[in-house]
Amino acid sequence: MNLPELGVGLIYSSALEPLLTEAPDLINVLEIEPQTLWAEQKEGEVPYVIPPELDEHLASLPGRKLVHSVGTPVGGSIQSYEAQMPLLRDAVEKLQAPWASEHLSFNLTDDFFTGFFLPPRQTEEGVLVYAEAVRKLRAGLGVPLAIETGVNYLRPRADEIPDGAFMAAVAEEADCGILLDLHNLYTNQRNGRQTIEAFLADLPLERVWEVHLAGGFEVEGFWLDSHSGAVPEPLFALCQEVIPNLPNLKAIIFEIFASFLPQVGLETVRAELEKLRGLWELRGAQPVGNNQRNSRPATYPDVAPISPHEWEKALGKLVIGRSPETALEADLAKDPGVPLVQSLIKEFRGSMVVQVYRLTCRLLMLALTPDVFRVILEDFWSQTPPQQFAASEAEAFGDYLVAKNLRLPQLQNILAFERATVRTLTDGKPRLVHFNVDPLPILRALSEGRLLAEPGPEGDYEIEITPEGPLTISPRYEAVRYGRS
Amino acid sequence: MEQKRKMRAAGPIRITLPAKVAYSPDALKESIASVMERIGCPKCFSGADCFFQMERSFVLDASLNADPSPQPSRAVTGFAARQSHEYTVGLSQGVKHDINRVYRAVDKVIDIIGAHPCISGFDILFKDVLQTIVIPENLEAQAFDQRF
Repeated sequence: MNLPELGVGLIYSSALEPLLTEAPDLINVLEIEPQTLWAEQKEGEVPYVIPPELDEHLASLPGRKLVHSVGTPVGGSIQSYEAQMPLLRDAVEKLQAPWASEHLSFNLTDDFFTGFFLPPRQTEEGVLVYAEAVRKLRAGLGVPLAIETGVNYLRPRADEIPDGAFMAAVAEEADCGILLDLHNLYTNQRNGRQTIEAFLADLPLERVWEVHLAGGFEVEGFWLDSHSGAVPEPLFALCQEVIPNLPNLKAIIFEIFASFLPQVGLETVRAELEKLRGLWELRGAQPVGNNQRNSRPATYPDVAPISPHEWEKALGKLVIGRSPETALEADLAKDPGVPLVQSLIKEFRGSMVVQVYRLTCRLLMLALTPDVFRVILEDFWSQTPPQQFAASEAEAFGDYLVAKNLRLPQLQNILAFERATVRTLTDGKPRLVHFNVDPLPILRALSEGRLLAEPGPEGDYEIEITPEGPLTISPRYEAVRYGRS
Repeated sequence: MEQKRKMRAAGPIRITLPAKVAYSPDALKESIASVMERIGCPKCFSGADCFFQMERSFVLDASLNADPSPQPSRAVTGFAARQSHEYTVGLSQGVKHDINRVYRAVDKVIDIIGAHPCISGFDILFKDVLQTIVIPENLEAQAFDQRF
């Protein structure tokens, strides 16, 4: 595979743009996760949209671009990429990505999205099913595809192929590249799965085109792949031994979750990039063939005849909080990783809702206390499975709140305002929202994280949400609010 | 309570907001990318999204007039605390996980303070209900007498 050497870079986040401006020479490549920038339109002419100016903006950023899909994982028997394919392929073409990547995980069952990347069924049947998914996605994208080594919070099972051998088998069956996420492997090792050393001993290292590195932290005895800061020292030391054994390495990417930037600062990202540049210089230092790879057994015994589809259905059901019914579900429910993933999914879902309907959620937390808000969310989660896109998750929560008809003052107005705003952002159509009191003091107070001490003057107010244009306030607002003529 | 002023002029008062500005008070400083990141598919990672805990901390801090800027470190601490199921909610055990009782408690507060209370009034009374009388299992009205 003749791919270009790209160098060191970052997963793109808008919060990192100041660093791109300040230190463009430090970043050779930006990896874009296209779906994070799309709006889902459940009732629109096309299922997903991206603002045209954003396409242009991404292309104008420094460095070469890679496409890292986060919505079409290939470790499942059910795929949903047909709807996403036009925009995904468009991203590959516009960004001139020499290759793309996806996760060897699943996030979809017959009935719902799981809200989390979950580990695939590691069997011979799984190898064939997932390799076919890789081939289909690659054909749709029109560029070479690498599959990412995932996090698995479950305990190792006797009826599954070991992690490294399974990844090797899928990559060879599909004849694709490998995105070696070393922090994912570090997380798995810390949590009792295969060691990184054993994983790599099973891997065809010449297929590794790209490495991901990140930081994490420990919660309740689990190491989390939280992308929360610097690469852990033991992992960095190991990288210095691993990178020289990767003869076809083309990029090393640092990942950090934007929510942690206020804590760690851009200077930490800059320092990590400089360290990664040192690693980059070590690439391919060992002669090809130096890797003593374990030979692959002819077959792996399937102790239990659990199909990928059965596995996905059972695990998906458990992690979104449904009760076990089958023998497999009862067995999986005993795994301590399941309640952990349940908690992480809830944090994801809560974060999606508060990010999209920030003012509505603040009103609920301030008026009812955060803990009662949590109880309300728990009820919503128990009734509604996760959505893949944040706006859709929030929309479902909005439907729930409307149905509950909670008699909290101004709640329905604030919710209507935020729903209208997100819908206008998505479809570009103007909308009107009515208030029976002056809305601006309420909106201002909530945006500052407080409740309004005194209600504004009652009256007939409306806010028009427009796709673009100036902020205008009727002169009569000034007259009523401030007694000016 | 001061008598509310009524606007009697004909027709509604209209405020026109571009969606991006309506979505965020700081939108003029925000790029369209950051707005889309909030409504799009979550990023690739398998850790704890601390934003929910950050918002919780922000609200708690703002209500105490402390530094209201979201603090991820405390958000992480909050996440860890939640893992141990140490809820601080002032609801009695029987009410805590019964959403219908929570909603009935909200209705009770509304019944007491009227149909169109200001939000702060609601906040004060609801917190009193939660923290002082710790909503009894049967949600009996006499419990309010203990406070007022």
